[in-house]
Amino acid sequence: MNPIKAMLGLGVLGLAGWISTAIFLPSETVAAPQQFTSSGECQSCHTQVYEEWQASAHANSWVNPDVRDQSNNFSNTDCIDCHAPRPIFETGIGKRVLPRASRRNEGVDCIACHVLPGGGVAGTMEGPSAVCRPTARRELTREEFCGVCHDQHKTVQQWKGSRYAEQGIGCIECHMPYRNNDPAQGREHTCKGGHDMDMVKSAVTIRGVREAGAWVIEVENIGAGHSFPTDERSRAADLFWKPVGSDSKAWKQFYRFRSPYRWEVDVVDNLLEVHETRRLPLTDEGSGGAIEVAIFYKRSPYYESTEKPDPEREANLLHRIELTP
Amino acid sequence: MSRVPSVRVPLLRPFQIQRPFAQTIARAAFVAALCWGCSEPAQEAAQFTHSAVVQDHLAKLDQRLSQSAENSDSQAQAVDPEQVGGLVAMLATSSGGARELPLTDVQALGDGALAPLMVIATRTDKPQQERLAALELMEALGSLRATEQLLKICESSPEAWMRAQSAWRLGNLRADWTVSRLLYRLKYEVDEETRVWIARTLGLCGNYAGQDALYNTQNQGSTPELQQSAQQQIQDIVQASGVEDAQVLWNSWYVADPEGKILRKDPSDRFLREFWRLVSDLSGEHFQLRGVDDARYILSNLGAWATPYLCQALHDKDVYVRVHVAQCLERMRGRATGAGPHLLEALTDESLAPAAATALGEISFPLAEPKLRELLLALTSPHELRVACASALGRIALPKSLVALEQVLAADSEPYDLRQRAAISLCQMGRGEQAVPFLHAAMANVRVDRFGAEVAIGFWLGQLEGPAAASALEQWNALQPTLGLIATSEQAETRINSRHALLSQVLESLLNP
Repeated sequence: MNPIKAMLGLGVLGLAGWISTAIFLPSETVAAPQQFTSSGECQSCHTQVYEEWQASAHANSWVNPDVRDQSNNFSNTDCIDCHAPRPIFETGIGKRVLPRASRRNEGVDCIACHVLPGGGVAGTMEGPSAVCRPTARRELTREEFCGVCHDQHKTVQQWKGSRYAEQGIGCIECHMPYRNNDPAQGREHTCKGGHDMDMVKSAVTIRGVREAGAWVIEVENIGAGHSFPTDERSRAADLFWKPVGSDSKAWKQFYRFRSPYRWEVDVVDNLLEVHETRRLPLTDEGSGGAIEVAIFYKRSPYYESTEKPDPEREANLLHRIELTP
Repeated sequence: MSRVPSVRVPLLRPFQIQRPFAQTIARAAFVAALCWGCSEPAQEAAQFTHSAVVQDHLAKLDQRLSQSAENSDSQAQAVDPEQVGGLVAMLATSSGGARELPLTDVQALGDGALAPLMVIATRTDKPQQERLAALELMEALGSLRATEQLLKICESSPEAWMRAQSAWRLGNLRADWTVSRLLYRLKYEVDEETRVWIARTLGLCGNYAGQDALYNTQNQGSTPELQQSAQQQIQDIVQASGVEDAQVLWNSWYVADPEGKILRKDPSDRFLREFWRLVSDLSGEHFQLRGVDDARYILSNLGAWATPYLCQALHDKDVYVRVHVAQCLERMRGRATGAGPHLLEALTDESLAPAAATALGEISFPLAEPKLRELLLALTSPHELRVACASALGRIALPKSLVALEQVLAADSEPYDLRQRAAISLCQMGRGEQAVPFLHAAMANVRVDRFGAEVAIGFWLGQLEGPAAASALEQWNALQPTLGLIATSEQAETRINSRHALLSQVLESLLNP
């Protein structure tokens, strides 16, 4: 045997082995971004966030009875774009959302806000050791991020004209505050808003002022960073009064805050603007004695009877005051 | 849990560890050799191409329109307002043959008479007869500008009778390009009489989307006169359409018109310009969904002639345009049957495929069934697309889809929403044995689409025969919410729970009669 040839043969074999190893052995930690198909996949690691989200209006944006009825079970397909959107990072911040065909029952879910185009997830900080390996994307906290849906009814525009915007108090400061005010605990994902009566109550206050022998009711937007109520033409806030001590059937409506549907050409858009105090004279002749005045909030726009609305049964009481001349 | 990663993996991400250089080179060489050895150029699927379809059409039409004499920007010669006022007064006070004179004279004055006519028509302190005469003289002018002014009054006058009158006059002019704007007006018009006249004008222009409004007024109009008027307009548009009777017109418009019973005219350039403007309203350049909603509504109500143009727009470079155009075709249903092959091709466009599959179902294109079934069963298909395919197969409703849908429904490993979609499709196809128990359970699960399940079961009940089914359906419908009233959450909860309880009692006997 020629030793040179043998050496050469061994060398060729060794090279072939090295190439084969390089090709066929799996590379250690090279992995594609994870693909997510359901928010349920986030639950095991993010239990608290998942539970908060699950109780939120976002999670219920497809299955909530209010929206089912108001959209006629989504036969009004125009509603789907925002109620079951494709991932926002896919369509783009500042752009409209597009509707998705699947997982609609999950509504505005983890994927809608956190999944990045091509896979992987966005978080507020890098997490290379986490299973989902989030990439830090500051856009998540920007008002324009929420605005892809919520600015369809100008909520972000309303906020932009407010003192909150000047002070840098954005959507998440009120709607996704830090848990227990502790940044280390992360932000709540309940996204409380128009479905949370405590939050709605904190948006306005009412008081009565006696002027020239009649009551003027003042309604002030003290807590909402946008108009009150906002975002949904389906929502309204109503002022009622009745003599003190009379039963619930005696409520008389005397003012309504609401933005109309497009076809309601006779309805004036009169939402209570951010920081605004509106003075509303109570001109009814019967209001000369001691009266109760209340502001009710309604998540669907119409009462069963326009002549005799029953706010205690059909709406949510926000504030009630007693006024004695 | 998580699926196989997409093939479109970014080459390097912050959390990835870079491969040794030699390994990368070796793997690349190996893959290249493999590809070279295995390549079969003829086997590659045709790519679904994108281009600036909308922009190109708008540019061409703008050029054509700017060259036509009718659309020239030349100013109309000013006319003495007193002279126009005289014609108005003469028409307002004349009758019989004497009316012909002002109607002829105004044509001699040309578009210069329009400004004074508009002043008279819109001044609320003018006598009604003079304002009506001004509208009539605008109609007599019959020019593009006169039509435009009448349309503006119809669109924006705060007085309902003015809107109604101008809508009627537009019907006499029959300019097809007014259709899209009249459809928009019809969508938001609240005055019953104006709705009737807009619907009539649409019909006379070859668009029958106003039939719905006419039948509503005929059946539920607030006065007998309005009901009678609506009935008369239905007869008029049926006669103008060239079909035998009202039922044929309804079916040809809302269901399908394979024999081309409705007379069709090629759209004018101005109408096409309106069409492409509406398509451009779908683009991602616009933020407000309100405009998109309106454009979708109008485009899907234009009629079958729009289908080939919408198919071209499926190739636009803007993904918003592509997806929303597919939605328009979906809403057109039978009127968009011609879009079938194009939508089938669109299944290869990743961003468009789910919307295309849904549209294929709604237009009920049977040739798409094998492909939709294949995509439904392929675990490698995107989940979004599989759900859309399950939905589409239920709408096409061919028996050969049943096994695939039942297979998906029965597989516990499949995502719940896909199984529910398969169950709904099976219900739509009258196959309730597996599907209804699944949907019945879904009705009690607040985390899933229980209202979707409720609707599907209601549909299934309506298809059943026999006294037990009739009784169940009667009880089910008795829980129906009051028509026209939006139920509160509590009312909706009560309804769905009551229906769930009802079904618990009768389901066994309905499935095994």
